[in-house]
Amino acid sequence: MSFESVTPARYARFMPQRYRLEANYCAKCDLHHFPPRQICKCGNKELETRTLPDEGEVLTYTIIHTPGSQFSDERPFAIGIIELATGARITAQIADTPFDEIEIGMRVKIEFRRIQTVGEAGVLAYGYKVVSM
Amino acid sequence: MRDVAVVGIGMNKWGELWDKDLRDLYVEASLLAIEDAGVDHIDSMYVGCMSSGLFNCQEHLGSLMADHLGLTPIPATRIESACVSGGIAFRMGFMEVAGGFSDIVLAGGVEKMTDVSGDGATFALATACDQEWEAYNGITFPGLYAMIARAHMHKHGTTREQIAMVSVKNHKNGMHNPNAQYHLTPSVEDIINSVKVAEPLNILDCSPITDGAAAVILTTVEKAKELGKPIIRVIGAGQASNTLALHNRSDLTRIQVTEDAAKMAYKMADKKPEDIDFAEVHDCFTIAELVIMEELGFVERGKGGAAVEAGETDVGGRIPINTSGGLKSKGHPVGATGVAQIHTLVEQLRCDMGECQVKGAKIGLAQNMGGSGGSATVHILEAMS
Repeated sequence: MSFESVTPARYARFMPQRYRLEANYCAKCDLHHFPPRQICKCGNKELETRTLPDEGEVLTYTIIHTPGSQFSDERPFAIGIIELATGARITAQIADTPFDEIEIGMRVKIEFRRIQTVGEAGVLAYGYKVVSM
Repeated sequence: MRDVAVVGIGMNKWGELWDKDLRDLYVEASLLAIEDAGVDHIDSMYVGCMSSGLFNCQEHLGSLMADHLGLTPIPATRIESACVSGGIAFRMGFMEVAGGFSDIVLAGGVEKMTDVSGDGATFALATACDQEWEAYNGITFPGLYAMIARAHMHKHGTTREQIAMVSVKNHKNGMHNPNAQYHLTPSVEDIINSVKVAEPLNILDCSPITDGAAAVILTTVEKAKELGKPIIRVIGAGQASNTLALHNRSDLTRIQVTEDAAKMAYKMADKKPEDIDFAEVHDCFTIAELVIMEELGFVERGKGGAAVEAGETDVGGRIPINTSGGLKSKGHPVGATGVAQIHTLVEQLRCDMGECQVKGAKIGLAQNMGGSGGSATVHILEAMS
């Protein structure tokens, strides 16, 4: 028996975020929330939908050698925390970049990529990865 | 609020226990704790467990365990908060006794992790991070702590060797713990050259996959005196929450949730970091212990690595940490870990730790943590004369 962390309904629900980094913005705090939230920590519920920029900087990273079962075929791969120009942050794989060229402070561009192949039917799940600029 | 004491402790030998079921583990540890306390009944019970659904296809643990302990119809509640499930189970037991709702409470924790493959365990554990925004993109728990390690090394100059020294120390302590999963003495070189898991962390930086349980009995100080037990009083209890996603925390070299829980516990106990004689902390990965030492106020921020290198956290050092062997050597059955830390605090405060006894230990602190720092508990226990 196995569990699947990505089902069609769960996947479809987050397409605006996975496909185009749709966030929301609290004007009171000058803060972007990704994924969008219903309420900002300041209590503001009037949050405006905004798309995040497609460039950012690596804050920290690792090379994964023992991934979860759904990424077994990808090992090893690089993944990091990326701060986008607006200050919002994401965790994303760092693709097409030699491991020894990755460093803290490296500038990266967000790209739309295949993330996982899910279940026996092999459904493709897409999202964002970053590449060195 | 009533004064609360820990009067009984129980724990089994931890490891890869093929012949034992989830309930066997929990019942075994609980019976040891009940026997140690010498109580004739239990009023209520908390079971800390993170993921028996994914590991063993079994939920509904409160009643399952009450049934197999012969304790029905007492209230029996399962607590889940990832790897701090056990710490919170203990906290709930403490509050129930302190609040006057029950006189004798059993707080236990259990995890049976080796019924699934290594990949399966990695998947189950990754449900403690943000599934949609972290795990979906391929991050793992070793990976999250590896990113904290990388940031800490970059900002504070912490060396790879200093990080490995946590594992060396904890394994050295674990050699004296008969219940520990691994009795090994790896060197710094062994650790740095061991199999890569998530760079810069290797297999010997990671706590293992473990089957195990631990249980303690909480009651009033008054009742503890009647039982004729050494009085080990719970003087401070703190718990805090933080973002599940590591990327949403402003400083990636910190684990803020620990400081927040510690502040609450120190305030309640009216103690400062320098009043603590020894501590058990959540070294799920070597780097975690360094950061936690900083969050608990035992060392200045960024100085965790230097303190371990100087031997300050050795058994004979200024502030001995993880005299049980920690999660690294003892094993990390996630739901049981927080309760096992209390087990060690009580052993130390009863002067029962043998080779790893901290001389003159009167006040001990236990820090237990969930996920990459999304939740934590801090408890302070004192031996009353």
